[in-house]
Amino acid sequence: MAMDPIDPDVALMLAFQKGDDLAFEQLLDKYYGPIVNFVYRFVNDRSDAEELAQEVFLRVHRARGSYEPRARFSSWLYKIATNVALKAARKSRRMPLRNPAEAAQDSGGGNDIPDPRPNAESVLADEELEKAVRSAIEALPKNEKLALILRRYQGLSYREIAAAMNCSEGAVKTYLHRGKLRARRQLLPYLEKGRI
Amino acid sequence: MRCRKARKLIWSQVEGEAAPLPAGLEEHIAGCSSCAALAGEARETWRLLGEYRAIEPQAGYRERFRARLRSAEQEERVRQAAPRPAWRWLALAAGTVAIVLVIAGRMATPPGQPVEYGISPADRLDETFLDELDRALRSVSSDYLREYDSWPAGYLEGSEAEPGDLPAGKKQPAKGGHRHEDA
Repeated sequence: MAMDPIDPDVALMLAFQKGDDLAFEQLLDKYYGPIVNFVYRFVNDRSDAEELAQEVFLRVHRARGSYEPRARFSSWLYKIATNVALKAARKSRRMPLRNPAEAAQDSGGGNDIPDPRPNAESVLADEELEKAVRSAIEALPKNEKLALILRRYQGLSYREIAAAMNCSEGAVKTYLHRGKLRARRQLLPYLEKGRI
Repeated sequence: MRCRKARKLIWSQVEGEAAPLPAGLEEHIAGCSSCAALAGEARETWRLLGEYRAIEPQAGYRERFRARLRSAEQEERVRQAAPRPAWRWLALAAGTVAIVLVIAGRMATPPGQPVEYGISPADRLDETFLDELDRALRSVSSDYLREYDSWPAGYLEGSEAEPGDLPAGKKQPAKGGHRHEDA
């Protein structure tokens, strides 16, 4: 894959390779959130996601000596993150879907006390919808899930997803297409409700 | 454009990757109610997926990362500094010797012949000599030997008879033949 010559993140990684620790801090600040969210949507557990994101950046740090800028930094980073997420999934063999209260806490709102505000019903409906979406993502086969998360939430191109998943762009398109069809089936009640 | 092709393109369209879209797609959707319904569903499915909201990383992730990095580096230093157990070297040496012996044995034996362990080259030569001697002895007629073994001891000692005379009842063996006809 041809490297983007003006990728500033590659420049930061190369600076880190030469001993500039501040460059690594900048990469950490820029990508920590996206990597946490990517892993979070894959493993569906917040604390695991934080732990695995740290593992991803630990690997980046260890690769300091051997790093070669062959692709965009983000492609390389997501490849590492994909490997870490898949390894974690293999290890656990079980990725339990957390309860709605926990999910609401993660998204920054909601608790066990009923919301007295007039739009409480709307908030509950939003939570229910989010839970349905989480279930739909959770139910996908791992390749379809990875492709869909990388495309829908991380905004990667087909080419970047192919690099991250170590497969062809054609395979990525197939995974995405199947994933969308499955997600549609799962979300059909919400499509029919017309609350979209 | 046919519905089948339009339906494939509809799902690509919702992602925005397939731009520019084929000119016929919009026209087809405008004229086909089922494809129009599917296009609406596809768009809404894609939008609904966006309801899976992002989370904020927990505060202090930098400090946690630095602590984990220090811990990992410390573990690495300890691992590198620790002496490797001697049995690993012994196992490695034993394995190497075993491999060398197996390879040397295979090289010393022509392919297709079974390996005979514990036989020296001198022993093998002796065996070859004995085999050849055995074959040579087998090729000599045993009848010939039996015929002359049956002659009287006195004749053989040559006290009365002239050499070449046969005792009574004995016939000169036919030239080139060794059969004892009176037997």
